[in-house]
Formats: sequence, C-alpha cells, structure tokens
Amino acid sequence: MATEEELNDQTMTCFQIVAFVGDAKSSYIEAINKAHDGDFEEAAKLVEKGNASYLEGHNAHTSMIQKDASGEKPAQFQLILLHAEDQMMSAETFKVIAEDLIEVYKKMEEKA
Amino acid sequence: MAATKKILLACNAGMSTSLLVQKMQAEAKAEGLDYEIAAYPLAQALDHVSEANVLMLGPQIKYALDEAKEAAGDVPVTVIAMADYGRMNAKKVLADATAIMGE
Repeated sequence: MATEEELNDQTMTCFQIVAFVGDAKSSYIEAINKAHDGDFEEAAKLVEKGNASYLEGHNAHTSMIQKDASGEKPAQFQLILLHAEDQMMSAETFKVIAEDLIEVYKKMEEKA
Repeated sequence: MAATKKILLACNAGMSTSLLVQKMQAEAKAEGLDYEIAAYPLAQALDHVSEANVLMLGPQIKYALDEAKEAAGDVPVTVIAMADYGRMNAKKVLADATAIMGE
C-alpha cells in the first residue's frame, strides 16, 4: 500500500498534468478560433504556446511512468490519474484538429 | 453579519476542480471566511452564475472566457493561473477570489 505522502505526491503530479495539458488544449481551441477569423499569425503562436504547455505536462507524466517502470515508485491507481491521462489524450486530439483546421481555413481563404 | 459570498469554479467535468474546491473550503474555514465554494462543469456553472459573487475558470477552459463573461453579466469572471492550479495552491486562488470580490 502506498503511504499517504506518496499518494499526495502522485496527486500533485496529476494536478500539474491536468493544468499543463488543459492549458494546452485551451490554446489549441483558441488557435482554431483565430484561424476561423483569418488571424493565422496568432493561430500559429497559440499552437506553439499549446505545444510548450503540452510538453511540460508530458514531462511530468513521463517522469511518473519512468519511476513506475523502474520500480522506484510504483504508480497507484487514482481517479485523478485516470482524469489526467484522459485530459492528455484530449489535448493531443485537439492539437491534430487545430493544425489541420488551420490549414483548411488557410486554403479556404486562398480560394476566396 | 455579512451575507455568505459564493465562489463558483468551472472546468470541463468539474473533476479536478472539485479537489481544489475541497482545499479552498478548508482554507476558507481556517481563515474564518464565510464563503460557499462549488465546482461545476462549465455549462452548469453558467446556469448558477447569477447567484455567485465570482466565477473562476480552470486553465483548461480558458478558451471559453468570452462566452462565460457574456453569460455572467455583472458577475466577474477570471481564469485561475496555470501555476496555481497545477500546484493546487488553494490559498492563492482564495486570495485572488477575495480580491476580486472586493473585501
């Protein structure tokens, strides 16, 4: 059984992941909105900002996975961990959608 | 005695934010503040916003700030800083809410 302190550590890491990848997802959605309005420069900046936040969240997640794999600090099942990974997937999906939609909006503008 | 102040937090599912709310409630109690603090998914939060003194959005729904502001009318809307959210810094978030509510 994990001690309360270990669980608390893990909870904090999960919260960091949610905050970082959540911020990333928000940036990707804002990027889509900017592209929709024809502001491609701002859209590109927001995708970059999203990528930087995502990377931070990804790093926090990776360090948890590595500690688990090495047996140093096995990960404990927690609803918040499930939630954090779910948020990561959602952010990842939005990244792909944002990049693709920005291209589509660009093409539409070129043809208009 | 002053009326209870209501702080509303919103995120995607109200899940991670409800943990922050628990910490904020404990912090408010420790500081002797008469606050009612609740977390909801955004759509539900907007249904309740008229009863609140402040609406705070999680960083993951920052993109909905304009929509939330429009729905909130006179109720102030703010986004919780990513660092405060990530560190579950309930004390800081509570202080921000207090500042916004003008106490």
